[in-house]
Amino acid sequence: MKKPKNKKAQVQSGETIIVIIIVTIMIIIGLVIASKTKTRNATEESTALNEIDTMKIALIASSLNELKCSEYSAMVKTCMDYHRILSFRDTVLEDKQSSKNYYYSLLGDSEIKIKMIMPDQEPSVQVVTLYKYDNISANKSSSSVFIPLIVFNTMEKENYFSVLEVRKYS
Amino acid sequence: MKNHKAQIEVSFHWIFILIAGAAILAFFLIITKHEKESADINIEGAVGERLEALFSTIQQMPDSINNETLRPELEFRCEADGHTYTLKGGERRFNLYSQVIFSPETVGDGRIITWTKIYSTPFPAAQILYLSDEKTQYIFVKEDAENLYKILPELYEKKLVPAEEVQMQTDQGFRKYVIITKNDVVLDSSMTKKTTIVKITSEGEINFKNLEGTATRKYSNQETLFGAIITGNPELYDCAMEKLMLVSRITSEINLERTEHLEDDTDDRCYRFYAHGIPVEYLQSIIGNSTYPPASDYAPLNQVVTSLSILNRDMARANCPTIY
Repeated sequence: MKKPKNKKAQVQSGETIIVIIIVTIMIIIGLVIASKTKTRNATEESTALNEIDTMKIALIASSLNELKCSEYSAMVKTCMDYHRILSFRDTVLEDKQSSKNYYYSLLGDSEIKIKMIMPDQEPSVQVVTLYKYDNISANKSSSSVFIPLIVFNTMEKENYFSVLEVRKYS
Repeated sequence: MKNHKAQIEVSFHWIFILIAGAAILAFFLIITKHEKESADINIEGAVGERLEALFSTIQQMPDSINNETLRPELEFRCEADGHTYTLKGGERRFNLYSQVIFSPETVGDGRIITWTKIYSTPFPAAQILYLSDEKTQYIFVKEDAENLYKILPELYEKKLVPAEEVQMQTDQGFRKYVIITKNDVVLDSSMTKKTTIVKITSEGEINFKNLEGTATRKYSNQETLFGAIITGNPELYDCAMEKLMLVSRITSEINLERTEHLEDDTDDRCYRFYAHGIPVEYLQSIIGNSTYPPASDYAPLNQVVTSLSILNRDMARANCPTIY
Protein backbone atom coordinates (compact mmCIF):
# COMPACT_ATOMS: atom_id res chain seq x y z
CA MET A 1 0.00 0.00 0.00
CA LYS A 2 1.30 3.42 -1.00
CA LYS A 3 1.93 6.00 1.79
CA PRO A 4 -0.02 9.30 1.19
CA LYS A 5 2.31 12.36 0.41
CA ASN A 6 2.62 14.92 3.20
CA LYS A 7 1.64 18.31 1.67
CA LYS A 8 1.13 20.17 5.03
CA ALA A 9 4.45 22.18 4.97
CA GLN A 10 3.86 23.28 1.35
CA VAL A 11 0.44 24.72 2.27
CA GLN A 12 1.92 26.56 5.25
CA SER A 13 4.66 28.20 3.09
CA GLY A 14 2.07 29.24 0.54
CA GLU A 15 -0.01 30.84 3.32
CA THR A 16 2.93 33.04 4.41
CA ILE A 17 3.56 34.23 0.87
CA ILE A 18 -0.11 35.13 0.38
CA VAL A 19 -0.18 37.09 3.67
CA ILE A 20 2.88 39.09 2.65
CA ILE A 21 1.41 39.84 -0.78
CA ILE A 22 -1.87 41.03 0.79
CA VAL A 23 -0.03 43.24 3.34
CA THR A 24 2.08 44.77 0.54
CA ILE A 25 -1.02 45.53 -1.55
CA MET A 26 -2.68 47.19 1.46
CA ILE A 27 0.42 49.32 2.11
CA ILE A 28 0.50 50.44 -1.55
CA ILE A 29 -3.23 51.36 -1.47
CA GLY A 30 -2.64 53.34 1.75
CA LEU A 31 0.27 55.24 0.17
CA VAL A 32 -1.75 56.10 -2.94
CA ILE A 33 -4.64 57.46 -0.82
CA ALA A 34 -2.21 59.49 1.37
CA SER A 35 -0.50 60.89 -1.72
CA LYS A 36 -3.83 61.97 -3.29
CA THR A 37 -4.91 63.66 -0.03
CA LYS A 38 -1.57 65.45 0.22
CA THR A 39 -1.86 66.73 -3.38
CA ARG A 40 -5.37 68.08 -2.72
CA ASN A 41 -4.21 69.82 0.48
CA ALA A 42 -1.23 71.33 -1.34
CA THR A 43 -3.54 72.74 -4.06
CA GLU A 44 -5.83 74.32 -1.43
CA GLU A 45 -2.83 75.74 0.43
CA SER A 46 -1.45 77.17 -2.81
CA THR A 47 -4.77 78.95 -3.53
CA ALA A 48 -4.83 80.41 0.00
CA LEU A 49 -1.21 81.60 -0.34
CA ASN A 50 -2.02 83.27 -3.67
CA GLU A 51 -4.86 85.20 -2.06
CA ILE A 52 -2.61 86.29 0.82
CA ASP A 53 -0.02 87.37 -1.74
CA THR A 54 -2.62 89.45 -3.59
CA MET A 55 -3.64 91.19 -0.35
CA LYS A 56 0.03 91.85 0.47
CA ILE A 57 0.62 93.46 -2.95
CA ALA A 58 -2.58 95.51 -2.59
CA LEU A 59 -1.40 96.78 0.81
CA ILE A 60 2.00 97.72 -0.61
CA ALA A 61 0.52 99.42 -3.70
CA SER A 62 -1.96 101.48 -1.68
CA SER A 63 0.79 102.55 0.76
CA LEU A 64 3.43 103.69 -1.73
CA ASN A 65 4.73 107.11 -0.64
CA GLU A 66 5.47 107.88 -4.31
CA LEU A 67 1.72 108.07 -4.98
CA LYS A 68 0.34 109.67 -1.83
CA CYS A 69 -1.07 113.16 -1.60
CA SER A 70 0.85 115.63 0.49
CA GLU A 71 -0.70 118.53 2.31
CA TYR A 72 2.01 121.04 3.31
CA SER A 73 4.61 118.23 3.28
CA ALA A 74 2.49 115.87 5.39
CA MET A 75 1.43 112.67 3.68
CA VAL A 76 -2.31 112.05 3.57
CA LYS A 77 -3.01 108.38 4.03
CA THR A 78 -6.20 107.71 2.10
CA CYS A 79 -5.44 109.86 -0.89
CA MET A 80 -3.32 109.58 -4.03
CA ASP A 81 -1.98 112.51 -6.00
CA TYR A 82 -3.17 112.71 -9.62
CA HIS A 83 0.10 114.06 -11.02
CA ARG A 84 2.15 111.54 -9.02
CA ILE A 85 0.05 108.75 -10.53
CA LEU A 86 0.85 109.95 -14.07
CA SER A 87 4.54 110.47 -13.20
CA PHE A 88 4.77 107.01 -11.62
CA ARG A 89 3.28 105.45 -14.74
CA ASP A 90 5.72 107.28 -17.02
CA THR A 91 8.76 106.56 -14.81
CA VAL A 92 8.07 102.82 -14.70
CA LEU A 93 7.08 102.61 -18.39
CA GLU A 94 10.32 104.29 -19.44
CA ASP A 95 12.30 102.29 -16.83
CA LYS A 96 13.91 105.43 -15.42
CA GLN A 97 16.45 104.77 -12.63
CA SER A 98 15.96 100.98 -13.17
CA SER A 99 12.50 101.36 -11.66
CA LYS A 100 11.01 98.43 -13.57
CA ASN A 101 13.19 95.86 -11.78
CA TYR A 102 12.64 97.51 -8.43
CA TYR A 103 8.86 97.53 -8.76
CA TYR A 104 8.86 93.97 -10.09
CA SER A 105 10.62 92.87 -6.90
CA LEU A 106 7.98 94.77 -4.90
CA LEU A 107 4.82 94.02 -6.88
CA GLY A 108 5.71 90.79 -8.67
CA ASP A 109 3.48 89.19 -11.30
CA SER A 110 0.65 91.66 -11.04
CA GLU A 111 -1.20 94.45 -12.77
CA ILE A 112 -2.20 97.62 -10.95
CA LYS A 113 -4.75 100.07 -12.32
CA ILE A 114 -6.53 103.11 -11.01
CA LYS A 115 -9.99 103.95 -12.31
CA MET A 116 -10.91 107.58 -11.62
CA ILE A 117 -14.35 109.10 -11.97
CA MET A 118 -14.07 112.66 -13.32
CA PRO A 119 -17.62 113.91 -13.83
CA ASP A 120 -16.64 117.25 -15.46
CA GLN A 121 -14.40 115.70 -18.08
CA GLU A 122 -14.72 113.58 -21.23
CA PRO A 123 -14.36 110.67 -20.85
CA SER A 124 -15.71 110.73 -17.33
CA VAL A 125 -13.80 107.61 -16.29
CA GLN A 126 -10.04 107.64 -16.70
CA VAL A 127 -8.10 104.40 -16.27
CA VAL A 128 -4.38 104.59 -15.60
CA THR A 129 -2.27 101.42 -15.57
CA LEU A 130 0.38 102.09 -12.94
CA TYR A 131 2.24 98.82 -13.28
CA LYS A 132 1.95 95.77 -15.50
CA TYR A 133 3.88 92.55 -15.30
CA ASP A 134 5.48 91.85 -18.68
CA ASN A 135 4.57 88.21 -19.26
CA ILE A 136 0.82 88.29 -18.82
CA SER A 137 -0.92 85.70 -20.95
CA ALA A 138 -4.58 84.81 -21.29
CA ASN A 139 -3.92 81.34 -19.84
CA LYS A 140 -2.71 82.57 -16.44
CA SER A 141 -5.14 82.48 -13.54
CA SER A 142 -5.52 85.61 -11.45
CA SER A 143 -7.13 87.00 -8.34
CA SER A 144 -8.12 90.64 -7.78
CA VAL A 145 -8.51 93.05 -4.91
CA PHE A 146 -10.34 96.39 -5.20
CA ILE A 147 -9.56 99.29 -2.88
CA PRO A 148 -11.63 102.50 -2.99
CA LEU A 149 -9.72 105.74 -2.53
CA ILE A 150 -9.63 109.44 -3.38
CA VAL A 151 -7.38 110.92 -6.06
CA PHE A 152 -6.59 114.62 -5.61
CA ASN A 153 -5.72 116.91 -8.52
CA THR A 154 -3.53 119.60 -6.99
CA MET A 155 -3.85 122.00 -9.97
CA GLU A 156 -7.65 121.84 -10.33
CA LYS A 157 -8.11 121.41 -6.55
CA GLU A 158 -10.54 118.56 -7.27
CA ASN A 159 -11.08 115.16 -5.66
CA TYR A 160 -12.00 112.14 -7.78
CA PHE A 161 -13.65 108.99 -6.44
CA SER A 162 -11.43 106.13 -7.57
CA VAL A 163 -10.81 102.42 -7.28
CA LEU A 164 -7.39 100.80 -7.12
CA GLU A 165 -7.49 97.39 -8.80
CA VAL A 166 -4.71 94.96 -7.96
CA ARG A 167 -4.68 91.77 -10.04
CA LYS A 168 -2.16 89.09 -9.19
CA TYR A 169 -1.28 86.39 -11.71
CA SER A 170 -0.17 82.86 -10.87
CA MET B 1 16.08 6.90 9.06
CA LYS B 2 14.98 10.23 10.50
CA ASN B 3 12.91 12.47 8.29
CA HIS B 4 14.68 15.97 8.17
CA LYS B 5 12.40 17.37 5.50
CA ALA B 6 10.02 19.23 7.90
CA GLN B 7 12.91 20.75 9.92
CA ILE B 8 14.43 22.31 6.75
CA GLU B 9 11.04 23.67 5.68
CA VAL B 10 10.44 25.26 9.14
CA SER B 11 13.89 26.98 9.05
CA PHE B 12 13.22 28.26 5.56
CA HIS B 13 9.83 29.61 6.78
CA TRP B 14 11.55 31.83 9.40
CA ILE B 15 14.30 33.00 7.03
CA PHE B 16 11.65 34.00 4.53
CA ILE B 17 9.72 35.99 7.18
CA LEU B 18 12.90 37.78 8.35
CA ILE B 19 13.83 38.83 4.80
CA ALA B 20 10.30 40.05 4.02
CA GLY B 21 10.12 41.91 7.36
CA ALA B 22 13.48 43.59 6.79
CA ALA B 23 12.37 44.71 3.32
CA ILE B 24 9.11 46.24 4.65
CA LEU B 25 10.98 47.97 7.51
CA ALA B 26 13.58 49.41 5.09
CA PHE B 27 10.75 50.68 2.85
CA PHE B 28 9.09 52.52 5.75
CA LEU B 29 12.39 54.00 6.94
CA ILE B 30 13.04 55.41 3.45
CA ILE B 31 9.51 56.89 3.32
CA THR B 32 9.95 58.47 6.79
CA LYS B 33 13.32 60.00 5.86
CA HIS B 34 11.85 61.43 2.65
CA GLU B 35 8.82 62.86 4.48
CA LYS B 36 11.06 64.46 7.13
CA GLU B 37 13.21 66.17 4.47
CA SER B 38 10.08 67.34 2.70
CA ALA B 39 8.63 68.69 5.97
CA ASP B 40 11.87 70.59 6.72
CA ILE B 41 11.73 72.24 3.29
CA ASN B 42 8.05 73.13 3.82
CA ILE B 43 8.81 74.67 7.22
CA GLU B 44 11.65 76.71 5.71
CA GLY B 45 9.32 77.95 2.97
CA ALA B 46 6.47 78.73 5.37
CA VAL B 47 8.73 80.64 7.78
CA GLY B 48 10.27 82.54 4.87
CA GLU B 49 6.84 83.52 3.48
CA ARG B 50 5.71 84.64 6.90
CA LEU B 51 8.84 86.74 7.43
CA GLU B 52 8.50 88.35 4.00
CA ALA B 53 4.90 89.31 4.78
CA LEU B 54 6.00 90.56 8.22
CA PHE B 55 8.81 92.71 6.78
CA SER B 56 6.53 94.12 4.05
CA THR B 57 3.69 95.03 6.41
CA ILE B 58 5.91 96.42 9.17
CA GLN B 59 7.62 98.67 6.64
CA GLN B 60 4.22 100.16 5.74
CA MET B 61 3.83 101.42 9.34
CA PRO B 62 6.29 104.33 9.60
CA ASP B 63 7.56 105.47 13.00
CA SER B 64 6.36 102.27 14.63
CA ILE B 65 8.19 100.02 17.05
CA ASN B 66 7.25 96.37 17.50
CA ASN B 67 8.55 93.24 19.07
CA GLU B 68 7.78 89.64 18.27
CA THR B 69 9.09 86.23 19.19
CA LEU B 70 11.03 84.50 16.45
CA ARG B 71 12.28 81.01 17.30
CA PRO B 72 14.44 80.24 14.24
CA GLU B 73 17.64 82.20 13.77
CA LEU B 74 18.04 84.27 10.63
CA GLU B 75 21.47 84.82 9.10
CA PHE B 76 21.80 87.93 6.94
CA ARG B 77 24.47 88.23 4.26
CA CYS B 78 25.53 90.77 1.68
CA GLU B 79 27.17 89.02 -1.25
CA ALA B 80 27.52 89.26 -5.01
CA ASP B 81 23.97 87.97 -5.52
CA GLY B 82 22.55 90.61 -3.20
CA HIS B 83 21.17 91.08 0.30
CA THR B 84 19.85 87.71 1.48
CA TYR B 85 18.89 85.83 4.60
CA THR B 86 18.66 82.13 5.44
CA LEU B 87 17.23 80.19 8.34
CA LYS B 88 20.09 78.86 10.42
CA GLY B 89 20.97 75.42 9.17
CA GLY B 90 18.72 75.83 6.14
CA GLU B 91 19.78 75.98 2.52
CA ARG B 92 17.13 78.17 0.94
CA ARG B 93 18.15 81.82 0.56
CA PHE B 94 15.54 84.57 0.61
CA ASN B 95 16.50 87.65 -1.33
CA LEU B 96 15.69 91.12 0.04
CA TYR B 97 15.44 92.79 -3.36
CA SER B 98 13.38 95.78 -2.34
CA GLN B 99 13.30 95.90 1.45
CA VAL B 100 15.67 98.39 3.07
CA ILE B 101 16.56 96.47 6.24
CA PHE B 102 19.43 97.28 8.57
CA SER B 103 20.16 94.30 10.81
CA PRO B 104 23.09 92.52 12.46
CA GLU B 105 24.42 89.28 10.91
CA THR B 106 22.27 87.03 13.11
CA VAL B 107 18.80 87.75 14.45
CA GLY B 108 16.29 85.50 16.14
CA ASP B 109 15.96 82.63 18.62
CA GLY B 110 14.06 84.95 20.95
CA ARG B 111 12.50 88.40 20.92
CA ILE B 112 13.09 90.46 17.78
CA ILE B 113 12.65 94.24 17.69
CA THR B 114 11.56 96.22 14.62
CA TRP B 115 11.62 100.00 14.22
CA THR B 116 10.45 101.73 11.06
CA LYS B 117 11.52 105.21 10.03
CA ILE B 118 11.00 107.26 6.91
CA TYR B 119 14.07 108.41 5.00
CA SER B 120 13.31 111.87 3.57
CA THR B 121 15.04 113.97 0.92
CA PRO B 122 13.09 116.08 2.06
CA PHE B 123 9.97 114.30 0.76
CA PRO B 124 9.42 110.74 2.05
CA ALA B 125 11.67 108.68 -0.21
CA ALA B 126 11.86 105.25 1.44
CA GLN B 127 10.86 103.27 4.50
CA ILE B 128 13.72 101.89 6.57
CA LEU B 129 13.34 98.87 8.84
CA TYR B 130 15.79 98.53 11.72
CA LEU B 131 15.72 94.88 12.79
CA SER B 132 17.54 93.55 15.83
CA ASP B 133 16.95 91.27 18.79
CA GLU B 134 17.37 90.94 22.54
CA LYS B 135 20.70 89.16 22.08
CA THR B 136 22.44 92.20 20.56
CA GLN B 137 23.45 94.96 22.99
CA TYR B 138 24.14 98.56 21.97
CA ILE B 139 26.55 100.37 24.29
CA PHE B 140 26.60 104.17 23.93
CA VAL B 141 29.49 106.16 25.35
CA LYS B 142 27.88 108.91 27.44
CA GLU B 143 30.21 111.77 26.48
CA ASP B 144 29.92 111.01 22.72
CA ALA B 145 26.51 109.57 21.95
CA GLU B 146 24.02 110.31 24.72
CA ASN B 147 21.63 112.00 22.27
CA LEU B 148 21.61 108.87 20.06
CA TYR B 149 21.02 106.67 23.12
CA LYS B 150 17.92 108.71 23.97
CA ILE B 151 16.50 108.43 20.45
CA LEU B 152 16.97 104.63 20.14
CA PRO B 153 13.72 103.01 21.36
CA GLU B 154 13.66 101.41 24.81
CA LEU B 155 12.79 97.99 23.40
CA TYR B 156 16.33 97.59 22.12
CA GLU B 157 18.97 96.24 24.46
CA LYS B 158 20.91 99.44 25.08
CA LYS B 159 23.22 100.82 27.71
CA LEU B 160 24.79 104.22 28.40
CA VAL B 161 28.24 104.11 30.00
CA PRO B 162 30.82 106.81 30.82
CA ALA B 163 33.97 106.66 28.67
CA GLU B 164 36.18 105.47 31.54
CA GLU B 165 33.90 102.47 32.19
CA VAL B 166 33.87 101.09 28.63
CA GLN B 167 37.05 99.02 29.14
CA MET B 168 35.51 97.50 32.28
CA GLN B 169 32.59 96.05 30.32
CA THR B 170 32.67 92.24 30.31
CA ASP B 171 30.75 89.64 28.35
CA GLN B 172 27.22 89.36 29.77
CA GLY B 173 26.18 86.54 27.45
CA PHE B 174 24.91 88.58 24.50
CA ARG B 175 25.50 87.31 20.98
CA LYS B 176 26.90 90.66 19.76
CA TYR B 177 27.93 94.04 21.20
CA VAL B 178 27.99 97.34 19.28
CA ILE B 179 29.80 100.23 20.96
CA ILE B 180 28.98 103.72 19.71
CA THR B 181 31.63 106.34 20.37
CA LYS B 182 33.61 109.22 18.86
CA ASN B 183 36.96 108.11 20.28
CA ASP B 184 39.12 104.99 20.37
CA VAL B 185 38.21 102.50 23.08
CA VAL B 186 40.07 99.65 24.77
CA LEU B 187 38.08 96.52 25.42
CA ASP B 188 38.22 93.71 27.94
CA SER B 189 39.50 90.50 26.30
CA SER B 190 36.17 88.71 26.88
CA MET B 191 34.42 91.29 24.66
CA THR B 192 36.75 91.66 21.65
CA LYS B 193 35.49 88.63 19.72
CA LYS B 194 31.83 89.66 19.85
CA THR B 195 32.18 93.46 19.60
CA THR B 196 32.05 95.97 16.76
CA ILE B 197 32.96 99.57 17.54
CA VAL B 198 31.07 102.17 15.48
CA LYS B 199 33.22 105.29 15.74
CA ILE B 200 31.70 108.54 14.48
CA THR B 201 34.90 110.14 13.16
CA SER B 202 33.33 113.28 11.73
CA GLU B 203 30.02 114.64 10.42
CA GLY B 204 28.99 112.12 7.79
CA GLU B 205 31.72 109.52 8.38
CA ILE B 206 31.95 106.40 10.55
CA ASN B 207 34.47 103.62 11.17
CA PHE B 208 33.45 100.02 11.81
CA LYS B 209 36.16 98.38 13.90
CA ASN B 210 36.29 94.71 14.92
CA LEU B 211 38.67 91.74 14.92
CA GLU B 212 38.54 91.60 11.10
CA GLY B 213 39.81 95.16 10.75
CA THR B 214 38.57 98.71 10.23
CA ALA B 215 36.19 99.89 7.52
CA THR B 216 35.26 103.52 6.81
CA ARG B 217 31.80 104.39 5.53
CA LYS B 218 29.70 107.51 4.86
CA TYR B 219 26.25 108.28 6.22
CA SER B 220 23.86 111.00 5.03
CA ASN B 221 21.68 111.75 8.04
CA GLN B 222 20.53 110.41 11.40
CA GLU B 223 18.44 107.65 9.82
CA THR B 224 21.45 106.19 8.03
CA LEU B 225 23.65 106.66 11.11
CA PHE B 226 21.19 104.51 13.04
CA GLY B 227 21.40 102.04 10.18
CA ALA B 228 25.15 101.73 10.79
CA ILE B 229 24.61 101.37 14.55
CA ILE B 230 21.94 98.70 14.25
CA THR B 231 23.90 96.56 11.75
CA GLY B 232 27.34 96.94 13.33
CA ASN B 233 28.55 95.37 10.06
CA PRO B 234 30.00 97.34 7.12
CA GLU B 235 28.97 94.86 4.38
CA LEU B 236 25.33 94.68 5.54
CA TYR B 237 25.36 98.49 5.87
CA ASP B 238 26.57 98.72 2.25
CA CYS B 239 23.78 96.46 0.93
CA ALA B 240 21.04 98.40 2.71
CA MET B 241 22.47 101.81 1.72
CA GLU B 242 22.67 100.86 -1.99
CA LYS B 243 19.00 99.91 -1.96
CA LEU B 244 18.08 103.02 0.02
CA MET B 245 19.78 105.29 -2.50
CA LEU B 246 18.18 103.44 -5.42
CA VAL B 247 14.70 103.88 -3.93
CA SER B 248 15.49 107.52 -3.16
CA ARG B 249 16.49 108.14 -6.81
CA ILE B 250 13.29 106.49 -8.09
CA THR B 251 11.06 108.54 -5.76
CA SER B 252 12.95 111.72 -6.71
CA GLU B 253 12.49 110.90 -10.41
CA ILE B 254 8.72 110.59 -9.89
CA ASN B 255 8.68 113.93 -8.05
CA LEU B 256 10.78 115.47 -10.84
CA GLU B 257 8.24 114.36 -13.50
CA ARG B 258 5.43 115.71 -11.35
CA THR B 259 7.21 119.04 -10.91
CA GLU B 260 7.64 119.34 -14.69
CA HIS B 261 3.86 118.78 -15.11
CA LEU B 262 3.11 121.41 -12.46
CA GLU B 263 5.51 123.86 -14.08
CA ASP B 264 3.61 123.55 -17.39
CA ASP B 265 0.16 123.94 -15.79
CA THR B 266 0.79 126.47 -13.02
CA ASP B 267 -0.86 129.92 -12.97
CA ASP B 268 0.99 133.27 -13.19
CA ARG B 269 0.83 133.84 -9.43
CA CYS B 270 2.74 130.69 -8.63
CA TYR B 271 5.00 130.66 -11.70
CA ARG B 272 7.68 132.72 -9.85
CA PHE B 273 8.55 129.61 -7.82
CA TYR B 274 9.32 127.68 -11.02
CA ALA B 275 11.24 130.52 -12.65
CA HIS B 276 14.71 129.56 -13.95
CA GLY B 277 13.87 125.87 -13.39
CA ILE B 278 14.97 125.95 -9.77
CA PRO B 279 12.79 123.15 -8.34
CA VAL B 280 13.71 120.92 -11.29
CA GLU B 281 17.38 121.72 -10.72
CA TYR B 282 17.09 120.84 -7.03
CA LEU B 283 15.43 117.50 -7.81
CA GLN B 284 18.03 116.66 -10.43
CA SER B 285 20.74 117.45 -7.89
CA ILE B 286 19.05 115.17 -5.33
CA ILE B 287 18.98 112.37 -7.91
CA GLY B 288 22.62 112.94 -8.83
CA ASN B 289 23.80 112.97 -5.21
CA SER B 290 21.73 109.99 -4.01
CA THR B 291 24.43 107.45 -4.73
CA TYR B 292 26.29 104.94 -2.60
CA PRO B 293 29.10 105.32 -1.98
CA PRO B 294 28.93 109.10 -2.55
CA ALA B 295 31.52 110.94 -4.69
CA SER B 296 32.98 112.53 -1.56
CA ASP B 297 30.35 112.83 1.15
CA TYR B 298 26.66 113.64 1.50
CA ALA B 299 27.10 117.39 2.25
CA PRO B 300 25.94 118.45 -1.29
CA LEU B 301 22.86 116.23 -0.92
CA ASN B 302 22.01 117.65 2.50
CA GLN B 303 22.46 121.24 1.21
CA VAL B 304 20.07 120.78 -1.72
CA VAL B 305 17.56 118.94 0.51
CA THR B 306 17.53 121.98 2.83
CA SER B 307 17.11 124.37 -0.13
CA LEU B 308 14.19 122.36 -1.52
CA SER B 309 12.46 122.21 1.84
CA ILE B 310 12.73 126.03 2.19
CA LEU B 311 11.32 126.50 -1.32
CA ASN B 312 8.46 124.08 -0.60
CA ARG B 313 7.65 125.92 2.63
CA ASP B 314 7.50 129.24 0.75
CA MET B 315 5.19 127.70 -1.87
CA ALA B 316 2.87 126.40 0.85
CA ARG B 317 2.78 129.83 2.51
CA ALA B 318 1.84 131.39 -0.86
CA ASN B 319 -0.97 128.83 -1.24
CA CYS B 320 0.64 127.40 -4.38
CA PRO B 321 0.78 123.68 -5.24
CA THR B 322 3.80 122.34 -3.41
CA ILE B 323 6.58 120.14 -4.78
CA TYR B 324 5.84 117.55 -2.07
